[in-house]
Amino acid sequence: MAAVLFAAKAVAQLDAPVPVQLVGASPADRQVTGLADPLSPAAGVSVDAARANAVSFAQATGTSVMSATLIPAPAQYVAGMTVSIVPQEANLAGALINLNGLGPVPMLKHGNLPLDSADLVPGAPHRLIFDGSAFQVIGSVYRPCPAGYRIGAREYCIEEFSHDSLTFVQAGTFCQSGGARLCTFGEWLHACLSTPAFIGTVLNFEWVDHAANNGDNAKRVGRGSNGNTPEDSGIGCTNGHTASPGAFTRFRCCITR
Amino acid sequence: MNRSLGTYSLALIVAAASLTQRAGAQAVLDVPVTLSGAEGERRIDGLAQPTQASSLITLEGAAQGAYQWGTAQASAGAITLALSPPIVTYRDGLLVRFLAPADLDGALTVNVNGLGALPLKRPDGLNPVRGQLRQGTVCEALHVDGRFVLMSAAERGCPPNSIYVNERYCIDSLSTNNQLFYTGVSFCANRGGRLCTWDEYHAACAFLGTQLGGMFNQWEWIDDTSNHSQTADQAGRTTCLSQRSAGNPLVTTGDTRCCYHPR
Repeated sequence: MAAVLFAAKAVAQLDAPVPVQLVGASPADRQVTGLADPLSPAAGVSVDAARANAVSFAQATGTSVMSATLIPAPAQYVAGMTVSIVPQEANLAGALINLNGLGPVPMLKHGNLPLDSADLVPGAPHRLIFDGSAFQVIGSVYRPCPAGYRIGAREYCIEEFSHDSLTFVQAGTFCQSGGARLCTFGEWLHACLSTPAFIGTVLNFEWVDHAANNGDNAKRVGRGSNGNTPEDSGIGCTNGHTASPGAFTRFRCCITR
Repeated sequence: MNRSLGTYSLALIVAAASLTQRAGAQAVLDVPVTLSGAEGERRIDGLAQPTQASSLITLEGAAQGAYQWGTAQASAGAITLALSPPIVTYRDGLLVRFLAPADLDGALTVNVNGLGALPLKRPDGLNPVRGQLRQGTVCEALHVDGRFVLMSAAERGCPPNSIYVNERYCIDSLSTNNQLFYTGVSFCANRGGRLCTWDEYHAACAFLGTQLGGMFNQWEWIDDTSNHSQTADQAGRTTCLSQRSAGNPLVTTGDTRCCYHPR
């Protein structure tokens, strides 16, 4: 009888046509273990697969339409469906997402706002929940740094490279015209001291947004003296100098995040 | 067999499939099991709470979020987390949740079930800043590429132990003693803030008065600089108006009081 009811098919699969009841006396005897990651939507899920979001975690490629493949493939988008994606590239403004070829749908932030460009950070995970018509990004969406800038700290972005020399006033105007400003002394210093590669981008003096009490001077950093060394000791994060605002000097811009 | 109730015990499955039953009364299957009955017949009941990472989970445990939830402890920025049953290895997509055991910020690590300490970062790659992991708040961290990324614990308002000066910025209620200017700059940036500008410092001093502790005890750094010998500036030594150029920033120390943009 049992042989009739439980047929080990040719594909080596055990069929159980009725419910399975675990009746062991102790919790240890009422376990189903050794589960691999599920391969179909009706499969059971192990602790490990549940913790690791094995069925809802994927890398995403693309910029205007981000594509990702979940395993097993979902049959459709369903309200409440939660996925975690890791973009391989920064998204473009208004980016859509397409899971397993089910069709592109919008990604929204703060409830109903389309994504700005680079809202999704490459290499970082982002969690999305389908609301019935779009995927809403949940959690923190940090203000990204524009192209050409890097994160200096929580409060600001700083340009990766300095610009050709201008006067202090021209440099400030240049940054403002681009929606930015000259960096402060502290911002420039932190970026330089906290990122080893930064000093390699310092080619000469750079303006920062500070005056100096030496006549009508403005502050320059990245070259000069650190207070202990001679007046011009070359390039260094803690080196600085002042100069007339009319002196042509390199500079880089900062943006408040 | 309990055919009258329409269920099969695991022992019957073993007998039916001629599978092995080990001395420890454990049924071992080397093929997939498919529940092929009608809708109401495709169930597995009687599951206990899982004891291994590869165990089938129960609805109760899934609904409770029990498998991601752990008890955390922290020591010097190292967060240790115990999940039950323990995880076997770190894998991308692993999601863990815990209550922050203390106010934490800066260079933090998470070590789950003793598998090794991994950095805990914000999605933008920075270390968590002050106010982001407040004691007692639920933290959600997802493992990707050798690190845990903090997915929750969003910032709000002023960080702990800082005060609104106006809607645009907050200032530390207490200063931190005896730092070099460069140390103070990084100290504030790593907390998610910055050294105050001179006008921010003065306005906070004038507006908040005795709400700020430790004022007028020592010079405090501001994000300003002075003359040609590469100096930085300080303020607040005896009054809100006190200000000076501090001399060589490699040797001169001062107190640090950070400013923050509220979130």
